[in-house]
Amino acid sequence: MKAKYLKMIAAGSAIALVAFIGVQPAKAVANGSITLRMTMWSSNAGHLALFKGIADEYKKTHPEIADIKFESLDFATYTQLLTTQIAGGKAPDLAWILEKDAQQFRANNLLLNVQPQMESTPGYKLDEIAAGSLGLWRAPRSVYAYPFSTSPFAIFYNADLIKASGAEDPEALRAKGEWTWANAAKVAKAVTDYQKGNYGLNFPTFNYTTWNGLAAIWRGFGAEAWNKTGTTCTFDSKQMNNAMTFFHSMIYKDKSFPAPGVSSDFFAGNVGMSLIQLSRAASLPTMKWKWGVVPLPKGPVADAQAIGQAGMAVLTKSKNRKAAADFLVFATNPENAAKYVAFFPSSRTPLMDPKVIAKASILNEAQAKLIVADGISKGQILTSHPKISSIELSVKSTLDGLWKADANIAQTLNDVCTKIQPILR
Amino acid sequence: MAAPVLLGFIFLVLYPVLSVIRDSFTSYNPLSGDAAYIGADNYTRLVQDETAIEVAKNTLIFACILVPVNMALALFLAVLLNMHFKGRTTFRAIFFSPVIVSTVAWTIVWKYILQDDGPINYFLGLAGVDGPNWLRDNPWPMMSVVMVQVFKNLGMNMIFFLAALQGVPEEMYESSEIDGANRWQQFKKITLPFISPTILLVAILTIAGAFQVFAQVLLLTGGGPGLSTTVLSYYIFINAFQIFDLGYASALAVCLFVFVMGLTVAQWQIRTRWVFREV
Repeated sequence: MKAKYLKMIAAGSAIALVAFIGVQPAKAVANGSITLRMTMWSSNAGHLALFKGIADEYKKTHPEIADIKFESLDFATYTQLLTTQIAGGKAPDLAWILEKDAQQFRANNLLLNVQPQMESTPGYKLDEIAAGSLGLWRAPRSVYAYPFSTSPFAIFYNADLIKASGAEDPEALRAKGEWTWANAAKVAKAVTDYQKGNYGLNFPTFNYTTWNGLAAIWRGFGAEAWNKTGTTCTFDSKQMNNAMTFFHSMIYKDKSFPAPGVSSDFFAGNVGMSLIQLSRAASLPTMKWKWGVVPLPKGPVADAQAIGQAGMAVLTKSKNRKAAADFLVFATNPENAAKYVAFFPSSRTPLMDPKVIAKASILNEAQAKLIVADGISKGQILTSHPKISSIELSVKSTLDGLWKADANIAQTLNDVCTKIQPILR
Repeated sequence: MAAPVLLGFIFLVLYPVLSVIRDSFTSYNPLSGDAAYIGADNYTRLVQDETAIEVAKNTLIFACILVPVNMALALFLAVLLNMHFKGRTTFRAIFFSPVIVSTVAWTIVWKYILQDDGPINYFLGLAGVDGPNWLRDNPWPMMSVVMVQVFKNLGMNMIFFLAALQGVPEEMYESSEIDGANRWQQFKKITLPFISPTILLVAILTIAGAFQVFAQVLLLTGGGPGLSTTVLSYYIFINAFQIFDLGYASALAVCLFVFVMGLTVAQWQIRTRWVFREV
């Protein structure tokens, strides 16, 4: 009898305990208990001030956040540094993710689905984000990053230097419908020949390492790194051979593009043209020389524009996933997204209006339409692949064979396919 | 008394080494956290991996150039700086100073110096010489990595040799002079035998260090052009943190560990044949 009572008391206590736990309110997060960290590849003072301003605004209404830190990492080794942090158990809470890495990060389940937070936040307007811009970051009922920068590559140029060299102004060539890679190479050569130490064209983010950026050139020649399904290498195609022969000739025959290991700085004023994105051109208005901007030249096969994209994502390995997702949603809401337009072309449709871009950025309305609005509508985002880390190292080490004067271009491109085809398959 | 040391050894040496051996039998992907036991597959793959074989050759070339050049230069400098002349302390400090500079800072400065349009080629140009692209045109990238590493650690080996040279009894030289020995004979018959224990120590440290070179490769050449400067430790890093194949990287690390350990043991075993006072 005694045992029966004891059992009843025990059962009752257990039920009461479960009920008590069940009705407990969610544990409140202590004030100042969370520090968020976001990695980025920019150390531009304007970019940092923009993010810091948004973070300060957020902290006012979120006392649980002690600090939001922004960690600038080197662009050339950004993914390597980020993945080393992740692999070492020191993942940041939020990170900028390059378009080329989107598929691999998703395949490894590294990006948190933030669609629930976006949808449940009043006024977030998820449907404002252009579907094409979300492509790399979206799955059914899931959004893995906010594409805060959908930035077409363009040719920014030093109009004074080009004029002094006697070459035709790129904008004039474009207006006549003669803005082609062949004519761009002529302008570059004229600038190089004009004065010792000049270069006609540079491409700072390529730097003989991030080869996928060369899509900005090879797409005009009708070339691609691999087929649409990512299963067959196409580096050995005739189109790629034409593109690389053209580029190689600029480096080693015309000497109008800096060879490997040679430094050049467009903003120093001795480079005629620079293949960059709007986000990297913010300091142009402070230059003492006249500058201009035109879209990528037409190639012999296509008038192809290339777009670089950056997503802002919460990492699944973050220790503060909920807080990080809440901050991401705040930092990318329509009001804050509008602040990015000064540096980063937006993927929210109202912010793609050339008038809005012209008001916020260094571009005038005509340039904003030509470079950003038309660029995004015509362009394609740079190459990505779920196995990009294995592929890009093989491509980089094999393509090194191209960067010498007597390179066997066809053989090198065949070697690239020999190397990466087993990975693609 | 030995407990703290033993604990340190267990947690900082033994546990990591055993973890690496364990991981080498898995397909551990540090990015996703996925891992599965795959037996000796990583070791089978290693034998068939043409890149790993090329990288192993690069590592041997690197060590075979670095070790003799470093030791010969360090000994030469030590002998010079052991002589009595004005300002020798300053020279000692100058040659030792790279040792205390951070490897990263040292390498970044050299990367700038070795650029195609850097100071070396500028001065060569003044002399009418068209210098190569030191970090791109083979075989100069490997030579550049070796040279940067040699000058980084030269001072340390020089100090070891200097200390040893100062321990050679002066009376040995005096009596040999009476016997009519010339400078070379003195060096060969007195100096070298007396400093041979230090030569053994320096050889063990330099050889082990040669197989661990990493930062110089990462920062100077990134292993390129092609694979020409990719050495084993850098290849391990690439597999672990760029391709995220930590299992395979662990198998490579185990092989490198066994090889360096074997080399050190071999040096220790043959010491009795050439090291003075060793029996």
